[in-house]
Amino acid sequence: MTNLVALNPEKHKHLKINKDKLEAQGANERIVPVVIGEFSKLVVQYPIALTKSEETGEFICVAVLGFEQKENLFWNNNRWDGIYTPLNIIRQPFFIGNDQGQSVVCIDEHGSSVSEQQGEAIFNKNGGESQFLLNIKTMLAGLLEQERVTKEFIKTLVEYDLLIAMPLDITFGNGEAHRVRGFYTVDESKLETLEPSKLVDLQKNKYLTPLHMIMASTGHFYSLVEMKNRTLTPSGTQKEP
Amino acid sequence: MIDKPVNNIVILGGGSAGWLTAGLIAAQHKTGQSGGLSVTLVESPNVSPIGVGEGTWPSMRATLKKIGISETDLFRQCDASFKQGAKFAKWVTGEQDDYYYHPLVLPHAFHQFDLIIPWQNMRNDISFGDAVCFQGALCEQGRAPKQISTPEYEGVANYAYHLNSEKLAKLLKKHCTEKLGVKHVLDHVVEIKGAEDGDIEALITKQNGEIRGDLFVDCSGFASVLLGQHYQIPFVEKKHILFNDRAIAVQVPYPNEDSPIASHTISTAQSAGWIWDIGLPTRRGVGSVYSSAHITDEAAFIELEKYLEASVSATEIDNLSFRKIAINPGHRSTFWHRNCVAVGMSAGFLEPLEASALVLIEISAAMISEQLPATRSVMDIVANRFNERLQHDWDSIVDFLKLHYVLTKRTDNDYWIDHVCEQSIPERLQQRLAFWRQQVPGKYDFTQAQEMFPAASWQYVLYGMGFSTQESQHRNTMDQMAANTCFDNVAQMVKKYLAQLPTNRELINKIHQYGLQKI
Repeated sequence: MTNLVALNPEKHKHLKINKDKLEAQGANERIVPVVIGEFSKLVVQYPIALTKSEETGEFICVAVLGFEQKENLFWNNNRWDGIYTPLNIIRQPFFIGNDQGQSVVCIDEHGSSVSEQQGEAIFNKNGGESQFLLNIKTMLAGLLEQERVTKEFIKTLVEYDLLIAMPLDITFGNGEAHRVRGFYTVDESKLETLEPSKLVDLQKNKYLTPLHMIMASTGHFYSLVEMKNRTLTPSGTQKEP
Repeated sequence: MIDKPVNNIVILGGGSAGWLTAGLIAAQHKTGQSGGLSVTLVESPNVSPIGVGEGTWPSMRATLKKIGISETDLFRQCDASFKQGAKFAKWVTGEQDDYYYHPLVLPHAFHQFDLIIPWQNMRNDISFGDAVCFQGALCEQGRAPKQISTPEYEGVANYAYHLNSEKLAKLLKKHCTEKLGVKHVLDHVVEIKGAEDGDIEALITKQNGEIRGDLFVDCSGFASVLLGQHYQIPFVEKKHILFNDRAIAVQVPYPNEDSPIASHTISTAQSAGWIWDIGLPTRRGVGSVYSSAHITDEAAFIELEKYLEASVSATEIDNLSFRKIAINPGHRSTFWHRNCVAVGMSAGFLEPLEASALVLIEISAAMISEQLPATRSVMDIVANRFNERLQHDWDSIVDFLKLHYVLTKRTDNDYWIDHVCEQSIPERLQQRLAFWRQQVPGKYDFTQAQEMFPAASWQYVLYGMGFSTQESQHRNTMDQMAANTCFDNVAQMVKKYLAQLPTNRELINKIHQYGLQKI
């Protein structure tokens, strides 16, 4: 059970964060929300897609990590098998909460990386914020700003009608057919026929690059299928040349 | 003789009929472009719309989408709510436990099997509606037919709307004039100018002079200014079949802003009529429809008050304002005459038992738009088709509405006794009922491609009201095992959807806050 509370120097003065356990926090995530600022790192390995928030129905940008519920194909042999780990994984167990309109740093006290024994201290012995925490706070502030930028970006995609549903009908190596619904991507043909004035708008807002990165990243769904197939094949067997 | 092109459409009247017609025609033609079809709506500044017809059919989704209205705007601007069918209470015995649903989802496996005969073997255990359809269970729990992530106009379960029709007209007006190039003239029509051949040439207005047109659409409501008053097309009364001729309408506030919103229309039979109860997000619309030949206005009013007492305190009832409406059930003998066609109440009106008012507007407007003649010379051909189609539709509605009365077992008032009296039942309906005692309603009964009430609707009402069909013993009947599998599937669907779907109120609040996505 998660237990989110605002970070408190008195209450949390003994807490430590085990950095080796940060990535394990995403072991069961099928998707992870991502922000524009990390697209260039994500696009090397992950499919970046849009999906609807269950809570609000609004579109969010995500990196897709697996097909089944709680399946993260990048989590292998107890380690994150990727060149880059999305911010929303490694920022945990910290969160940004909202207290009467003010952003406050919160912590999941029950997070797997949190203990009083092992890792980086959050507060110094004198009760001040540790360098580790200061770094975290810088990252969280950056993430918050990036989330705002990403939201604006998505708003424009919706407004310009540039999204298209991306139904995936996949047959895995073992012959099992799988229907994946709920992912959306940028509609290439609509982008190509977009009114010039809107295109200029996209350019001005620096949206063209992330837009193309989303399109280019969809090819990684094939890599993801490959990763899935590897989990289905007995380990050690050689593939056909 | 020169064949006159049809370039100018003039619509008289700015209620939901007028604006739906304007919207459908303009959206499907090059209106507002140079050389395109001109659509002008003339509306009198001091005629207020009657504001009935708060229930729609599922077809309204396709209609609004075609016109280009966003469903999110509909919810935010027209007090719209989801409607998943109707619950008919006290229509058979009048007892507390007497009710059935007419849902909008077809019976399970409708095009593969007929589950009626196998269901009849277990009719004492489960109602027809609940056995073959999951939707009644959703309604009982006040659930919405979709999720916040379901795109606009799509549903998990089929649905229609409850809405404020005046606000719908307002939303359509804005869209038609700002986006679709419809011209709006706010002026009094003082005279109808006829041409020598009998066509209408122009409407003469007080301040804007002559408004000439090639086709005139009469959406002037009960006044029926063009078809009724100008052309004197006779009115065909249906009161001898459907007795109700009065209504009292009232708007009822909810106890608080989180009160559940029913996701179906509730129609509760009274001693000489019935009460509608329609839940909008902001208030309920409640009204009594009754026959003045069978009950006095005072007695009908007392029954309505008694109905309200179940949910509203006596002092609150005293503060409500009740509005009386006279109903003359029936329709014009012709709907399209020369270059004039009537849409909406100018064509006719029947009690709102199955929400037929708005759907008839949609059907009429869609046919006018899609069959719009390019020139005057073929207009009479279109007019004939239109008249045939609409005559068929009005007859279907009359028969279908009457069906709700003829299977009653109530004898507490002459109203119900008179309703089952043979003279009051149309010949075709009598024949159908006789035939259906031996065979279930199916595709041979309804031969029109676009039937208003298909076999499924008749089945829900017939078997919901306790009708029984005894098939000939020569017939192969459906395997009971296979039927049981279907019934199990329905029960599974109930579980699945109840686990997934939010309440009507929850979803509507979310739509107000976040909106629905277009895809």
